[in-house]
Amino acid sequence: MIEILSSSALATVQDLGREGGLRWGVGTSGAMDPLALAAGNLLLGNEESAAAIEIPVFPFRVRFAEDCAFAVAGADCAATLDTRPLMPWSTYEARAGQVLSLGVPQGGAWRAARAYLCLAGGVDVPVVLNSRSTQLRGAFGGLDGRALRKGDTLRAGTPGRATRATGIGLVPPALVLPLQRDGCAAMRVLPAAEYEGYTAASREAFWSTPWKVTPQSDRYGYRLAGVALEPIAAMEMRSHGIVPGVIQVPPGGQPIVQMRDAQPSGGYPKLGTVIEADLWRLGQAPIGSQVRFIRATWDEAVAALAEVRAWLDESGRLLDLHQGLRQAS
Amino acid sequence: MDALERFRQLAAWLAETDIALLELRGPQFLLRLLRDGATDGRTDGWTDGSTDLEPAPAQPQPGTTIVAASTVGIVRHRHPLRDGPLAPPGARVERGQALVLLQIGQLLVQVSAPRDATVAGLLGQDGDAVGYGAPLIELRD
Repeated sequence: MIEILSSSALATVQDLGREGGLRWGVGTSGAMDPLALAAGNLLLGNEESAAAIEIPVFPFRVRFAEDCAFAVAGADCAATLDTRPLMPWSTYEARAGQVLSLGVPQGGAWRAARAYLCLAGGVDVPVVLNSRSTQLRGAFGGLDGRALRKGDTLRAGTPGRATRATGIGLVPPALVLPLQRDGCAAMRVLPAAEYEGYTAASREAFWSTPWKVTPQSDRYGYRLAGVALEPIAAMEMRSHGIVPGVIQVPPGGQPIVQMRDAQPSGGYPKLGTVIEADLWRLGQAPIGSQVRFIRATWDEAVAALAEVRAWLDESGRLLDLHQGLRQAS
Repeated sequence: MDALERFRQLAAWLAETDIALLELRGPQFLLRLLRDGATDGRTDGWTDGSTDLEPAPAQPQPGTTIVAASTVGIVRHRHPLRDGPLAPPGARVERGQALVLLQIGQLLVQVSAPRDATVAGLLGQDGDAVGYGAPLIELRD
């Protein structure tokens, strides 16, 4: 069991999301950086989709009430266990009473926004509609359907002394699968239904200029600031189904990218969709940073998903191999 | 499978490759298989009984500890996300703290301090490929 020591808001329990509920108006939720969550779980020998704590505001501290193996992935927050400095994207074993502290995300080779604390066996909260993810809008899933508060306690699925090697880490996917344009984190985008409804100059600017992540960006959506995008003629549409990644353009011309807590429907015109394989890159883009969009094809989007899968598979293979060697020796 | 059968299996696998030399080291053993009369470049005839089991690390001075590689891998003195070294000479380190990383593909295996200590020196170069037991770092009280 761990106890939350920080009153910093907005940390939530998330897994890989609640798929299949959009038709009933149930949003997907789930980790903003699903790759970091899956990697942290692999490091611990958990199911990739086990629930973890997503932490977007720092500093963040928890106390372990019992021995427990854990992993921290995502943003490098110069974590410490009591006073011992920890490596990012690595596993450790906490003893009862120890305090894990995550500081402000470091610059380094990859500046990111969110850290994931994974526990051995996953964070044990009830499954609601096939997922443990917190659905903030509907106030269900996770811990009582809400963000974590100081004094909350959460159970690990399999606490106790580590049964696997700890002190093992992974080179983060941001370094293995880098994607940047002019020094900005970049995401591949498929043009969407109303793409042709925008002026040629706006379409060109969309691909060739940077977009700033404004402070009005969160798990629901990222509001970006940049060149105003102008439709050839005003478009009025009925609400229709949308998914995380959809880039809407409200009348002001400043795009909104729908994120994991997006509503399942919306009525603004859609310029494009950030491909599923790159949503983690946007989910990790800090407020105030700039991002770029790269035009992609369907085949490229599918290939990108395969690349992400291959990174996870290779991580799992190496971890199993190392685990096997350790047990043999 | 007994040791001899394992040895035969290894030899059979080796025969199907173009690997000239296979060397396995563990805490208590050294196995070196050469294929098709290949030479391993050694001149000191390793059959002479002088088991050249690991480095005979220069016997550490009292109060100092040599920390050795726990696996094969490529020596990394800094984490790929970070600018600074993990444990520069002179740094005070805590028991369990990562001193060096050994990279195997995208895996990073930590070599940790066995006790609270001060880093006296780095014994391997960043980027070196090292085997099990290679001395990596010297600690002093």
